[in-house]
Amino acid sequence: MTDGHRTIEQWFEDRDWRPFRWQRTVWKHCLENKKGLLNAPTGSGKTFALFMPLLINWINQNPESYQQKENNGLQLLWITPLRALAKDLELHMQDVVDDLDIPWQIQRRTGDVSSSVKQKQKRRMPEVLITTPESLHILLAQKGYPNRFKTLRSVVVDEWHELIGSKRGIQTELGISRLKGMNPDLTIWGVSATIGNLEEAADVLHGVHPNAERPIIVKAKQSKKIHVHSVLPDEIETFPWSGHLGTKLIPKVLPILDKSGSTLIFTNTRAQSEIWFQRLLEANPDLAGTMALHHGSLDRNVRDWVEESLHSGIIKIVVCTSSLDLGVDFSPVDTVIQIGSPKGVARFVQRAGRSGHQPGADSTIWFVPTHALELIEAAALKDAVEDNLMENRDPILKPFDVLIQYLITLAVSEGFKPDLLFDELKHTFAYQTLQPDEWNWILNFIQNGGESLTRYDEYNKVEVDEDGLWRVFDRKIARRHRMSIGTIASDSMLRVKYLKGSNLGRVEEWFISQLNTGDTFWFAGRNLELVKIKDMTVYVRRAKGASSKVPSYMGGRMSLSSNMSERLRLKLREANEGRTDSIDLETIKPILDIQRTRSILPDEKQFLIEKSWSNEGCHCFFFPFEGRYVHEGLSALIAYRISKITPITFSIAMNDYGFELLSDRDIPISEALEKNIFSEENLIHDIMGSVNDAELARRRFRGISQIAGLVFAGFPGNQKKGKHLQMSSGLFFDVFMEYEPGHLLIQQAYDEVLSTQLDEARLRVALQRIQNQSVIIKEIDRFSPFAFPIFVDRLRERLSSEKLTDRIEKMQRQLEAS
Amino acid sequence: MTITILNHTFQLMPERAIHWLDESTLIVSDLHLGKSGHFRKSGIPAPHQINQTNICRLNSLVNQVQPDRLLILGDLFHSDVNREWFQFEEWRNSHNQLNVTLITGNHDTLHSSFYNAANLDIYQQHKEENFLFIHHQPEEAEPEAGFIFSGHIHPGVKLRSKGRQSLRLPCFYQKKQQLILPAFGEFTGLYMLSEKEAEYIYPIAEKKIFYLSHA
Repeated sequence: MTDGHRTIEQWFEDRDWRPFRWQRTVWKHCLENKKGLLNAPTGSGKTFALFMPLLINWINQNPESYQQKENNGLQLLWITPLRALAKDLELHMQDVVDDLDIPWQIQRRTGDVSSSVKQKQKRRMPEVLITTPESLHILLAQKGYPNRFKTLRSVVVDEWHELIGSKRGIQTELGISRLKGMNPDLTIWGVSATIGNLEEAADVLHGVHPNAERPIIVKAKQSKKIHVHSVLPDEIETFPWSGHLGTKLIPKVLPILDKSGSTLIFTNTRAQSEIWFQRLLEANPDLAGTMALHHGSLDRNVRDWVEESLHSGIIKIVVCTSSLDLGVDFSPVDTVIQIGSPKGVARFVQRAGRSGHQPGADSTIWFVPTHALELIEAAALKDAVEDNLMENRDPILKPFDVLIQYLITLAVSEGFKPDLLFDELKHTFAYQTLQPDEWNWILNFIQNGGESLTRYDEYNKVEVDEDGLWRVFDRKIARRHRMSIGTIASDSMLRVKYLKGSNLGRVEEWFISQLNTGDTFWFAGRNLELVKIKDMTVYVRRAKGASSKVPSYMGGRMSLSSNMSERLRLKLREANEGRTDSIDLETIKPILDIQRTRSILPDEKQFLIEKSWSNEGCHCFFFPFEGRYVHEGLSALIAYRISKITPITFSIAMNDYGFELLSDRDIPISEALEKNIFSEENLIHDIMGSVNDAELARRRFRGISQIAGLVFAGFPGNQKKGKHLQMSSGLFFDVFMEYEPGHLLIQQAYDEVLSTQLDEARLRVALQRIQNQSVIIKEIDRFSPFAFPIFVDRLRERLSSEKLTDRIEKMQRQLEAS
Repeated sequence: MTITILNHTFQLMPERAIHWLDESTLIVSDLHLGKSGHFRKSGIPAPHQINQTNICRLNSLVNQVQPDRLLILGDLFHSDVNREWFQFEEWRNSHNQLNVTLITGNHDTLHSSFYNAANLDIYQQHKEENFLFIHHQPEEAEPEAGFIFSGHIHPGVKLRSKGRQSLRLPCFYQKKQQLILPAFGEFTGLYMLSEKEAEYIYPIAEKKIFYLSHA
């Protein structure tokens, strides 16, 4: 045993702890400079698994002086997806080095660290730096960054499962590729919760190195039992058929809160968390003072206070969103409540894991359905948890927008040489298939701003200096770039602030634009009166009385994962065949009976289409039960194919169970079926047609244009200056489509639609399944329980094959007739 | 489509312009020339064809209508000067018979020497007959006598119909004593106005002007 080992083992012994076997395994691999992925849940001791080997090594290399040597330069870079986690990690690691009298500094470098600390870090890096993918790129955008990373030995990417399926994951891959470019011997480890594709996750993190060893995967032993209970309505007959709030079940939730110690209540949206907080207070005013609210739009200080108060026991109940999904060991939490469908098994299990942190303790989670059909989901969830059916997190491949942002990042700091960088990129998982012609297009794009030059052009961005380095010289452009590093597209947000001073958080600009001075709205768990708007800040004061307006936040709606939708179809079949011992399916029986009376309850051999009329026009409902994403694609495809039969305009709505086509005129569904609209023939061609007609790519382009730096959100507090440089992503899409249809960013928008909403493979499977079923068209007078929730959805897609002028004339006639 | 205001005849054109027949005047607003150049100079790769397209559209419109005068209701040039101004100047020189009057808007911040060189008559606002031409008429302003033509807003309207269908279109927006012109420039965006406060709305789609009346 080495000195380092002895010292660390002693540290554990002093605390009456013993390192787990898997922790020792990770130490061993790290000390042998192996790379890998640790599969461990939050609160399992993963920090010690990955931090200790660094200390062991340090002690072994400096046996006499490890307690004296200061200012040793950066040793460990710890990347975490959530700023909230960084603080906890910092305290944890600082405790260890303090106990061992090692004069190391552990610091954070995230968006909410003060600028004076950031300035100090520029001159002197701490030994351990905890940061986010975005902040890592901001570091790479600073002049002199190679010096700051010179001494770096290890990189840890925490909660990798949260990053891998997103563009933040790409940012992480790129950041690591640059660090490896400077120091190929880095020891790199990822940490991930259990997902369906752990091995792939390890490969993505470590990149493509054909001759290197495969990364090692270490699994932390975990045998925590999860108890899932559902909160059932007393009378299913009066339980709503649609809706996503679920507040009807508050009387049933209150007793659970009474019986539990500390409790986390997870909601799916920020608006929903605000409303639940408000209604719970109304239902039981005694909760005031022991209950708090936590979501991503609240001010950092507010959230910190909530987290600390929960820790210390001042607060008993927190109503939250995914903002508390990750990290922070809430040892005191003993109950978790999930409001509405979590949409995926992994997310549900992770949330359940927030409770019962003591070794050997079980986790308990309550599921509160927000409408009747979610009871089927409850049954499906219980099964899926039992079978540990975790979803895959699929990596994104070759997004040009993130690459363009990265190139500018390097160009504003030290510059780059294209040949050397191309080589680094080819070793990342994301860009392993980057082609030379694509690379040249991108280089031309950042240097010349796209195709053909005219003599009036003054495009100014990246220039090549005399050493062949590609650099940005314009300081304004560099400054604007540094401010917009990141991959999370957001609407323009306004700060919400009391007149007297303290910050409450942020709301979307479009919500505030609907309010007038003196209006009240509910935010941060308080009723507020709008006093004035100035410099991108909404000044408010507390208001008396109730207010119904709650900021709703735009943003995509989550889809049921394919694992979950498969289970859902299975449960539906069980319910149909009456062979079930599930309490949830038992409870929903009366609703399914109504479905049978008004329409049919399709069995596995039937595909149901319901057709009905209202004063809005003709409705056709289709029920594939494939989850929202597949329905987005399928509905666009079916609408497109029907629109080829006759000029017609559709508005399209969908949920996880089915979709609706609505038109002002009769939908020729029988004729369409004769033409076989579910056929696989010409699938690619028709998918492309529907992408265009349904404007799906145009919408995708919104995020892409922000990341690639086309759309500039403006400087905080100084909005005016940026105003003349603002053009909406939609307008950019239009001009590129018109003038540069081969634009790689436009191509990317199409690729993203095709890989998410209109995934050809998944569509094909769905179509094949439908083709093996017999299609049943039911003409119905009253909306069925399946159809109703889709019918009331206001968020709609459009698709039309009518001539624009014909449509306007029709509208004109209707207007005159009314 | 032709409308009559205070006994004068105006032709509303789907090219997003008005032909004032009695005075042989072509009226346009919010061209935002130089927008692509301004973006490109700041490192944002807006296609430079945007500028060229707008000038071509102006050119063919002027050639078609053959007016004595071109009246621009502000926001001729998008921002600080860039070389795309010379693209406009070149066009201007090829039409030196044409009188060009610019009512300045909030975007028209170039030094006056540029306007002089391009031989433009510059006014803050301009009164003629019983008509007032201005870039933007603030809401609280006293409704002076006469009828106002203005721009600035880039008006758009949302049409709805059965089956939860809707469309957004640029429009001429007429309310009491005022007509707001749509932005002439391409890629300038729309600002949706409520149908309720309008007397008449003339939406534009596919080279055609429609007509909605709100009594």
